[in-house]
Amino acid sequence: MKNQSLIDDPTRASRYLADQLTEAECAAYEARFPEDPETVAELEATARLKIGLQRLRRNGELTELLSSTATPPVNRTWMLAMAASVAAVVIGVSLWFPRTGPISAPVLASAAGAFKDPSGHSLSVLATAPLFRTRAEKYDAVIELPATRGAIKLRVLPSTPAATARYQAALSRIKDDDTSERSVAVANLQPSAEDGFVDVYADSALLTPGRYRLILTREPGAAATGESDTFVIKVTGSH
Amino acid sequence: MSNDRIEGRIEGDAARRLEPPPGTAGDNRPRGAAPLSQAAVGALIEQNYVGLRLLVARRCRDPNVAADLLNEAVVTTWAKWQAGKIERPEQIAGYVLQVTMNLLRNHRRAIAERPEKRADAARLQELASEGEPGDETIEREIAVQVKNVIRGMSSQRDRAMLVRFYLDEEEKESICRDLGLSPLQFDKILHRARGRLRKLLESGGLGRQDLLSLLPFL
Repeated sequence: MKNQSLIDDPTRASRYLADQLTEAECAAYEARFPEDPETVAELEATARLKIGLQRLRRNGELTELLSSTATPPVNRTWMLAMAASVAAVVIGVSLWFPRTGPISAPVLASAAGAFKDPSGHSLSVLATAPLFRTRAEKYDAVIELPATRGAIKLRVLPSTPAATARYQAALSRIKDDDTSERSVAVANLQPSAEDGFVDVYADSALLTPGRYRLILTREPGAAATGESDTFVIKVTGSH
Repeated sequence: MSNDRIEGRIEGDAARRLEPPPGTAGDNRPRGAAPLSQAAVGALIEQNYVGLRLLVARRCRDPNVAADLLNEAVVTTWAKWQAGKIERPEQIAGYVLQVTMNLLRNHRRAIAERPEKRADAARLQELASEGEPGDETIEREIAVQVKNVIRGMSSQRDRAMLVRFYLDEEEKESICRDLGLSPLQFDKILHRARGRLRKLLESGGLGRQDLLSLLPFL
């Protein structure tokens, strides 16, 4: 039974390599090496995963991988969630003032379709940035401004996701003295039924390089009120 | 760490090709088949357990020290095999890795007990190891495989989980709490990711090419 529990624990190999097992657990695990080639193969696969991830982070490829969009099979739930999201477009309550030019436009919206080019066409999503609490990173996301104007999808993971909750996202630029410059907010955001992330979109043309603070707040409801998560984003590049 | 290094040490104390212990399970090789050499065991470990070898090298911060540890483990295991203390040949790889990890632990303990040599272990982990030139290519290939695993994950949350668990070595409970996962969901995601990696590794050469493949020669 004890051996079975060793095999069944999928975290064991990684915890072993991270020196997170007790001495007794460590000894029991190592005792399996000669007896069970599967355990050793598992350990080797885990070691390769760690080596590969370390390399990807060192090369700066990990951020892009974490934010790139996968190609999951389209399912009905997802389509319904997207339809509901688009139907609930709420444009930012404030206006964003770009550094140059006289136009005023919303920088943040709950759907990419809210942003229009001069011809009236909706902007395409050119980049995706996931935002979730990280332990060691200085910034929760680093966004490289695309060469052409487009929408940037910010995927924000609430610390306490709730499928039925509604959220408000507020974006502000951080000044050198760490105070916030302006704020734009989008309300009535619904988390994705698939993975719990709350999606919000920014117009790349209205973002300038610098630091931004995004605060995701759960809107008042029956279950909980006032919970919020703060993320710091670094925007790099130029238009 | 290179094959030359392992073979060099072996030439010194066991250059001869060794016969399996009489009367043991290893004494069943086909008539005419060449017996397995200690050097071949070392080379097999090096080739098929490259991930562990690289991790050991990284933790030692010195590829030569890592090579010595692995070499010592092969020699120790081989002595056990000769003495009939290892029942089946397919156990040899496990023994070598078991001894290697023990030696690594002792090595790190010894370093920690020498204050003048002490460095922050976490900091050492972050530093890139100066491995051998061939290791650079191996690491690059592994990174490509891992990249494919990540790309195959449809959920960004799952990808984040993988990074936080395997790379940042955060605890399961904390990740589950932050990402809104149940322990069962966590295990399932991990299971799927490892399954994908194992498939990729096997298609790339790892897996069944371990010491089991040498059984006919033992």
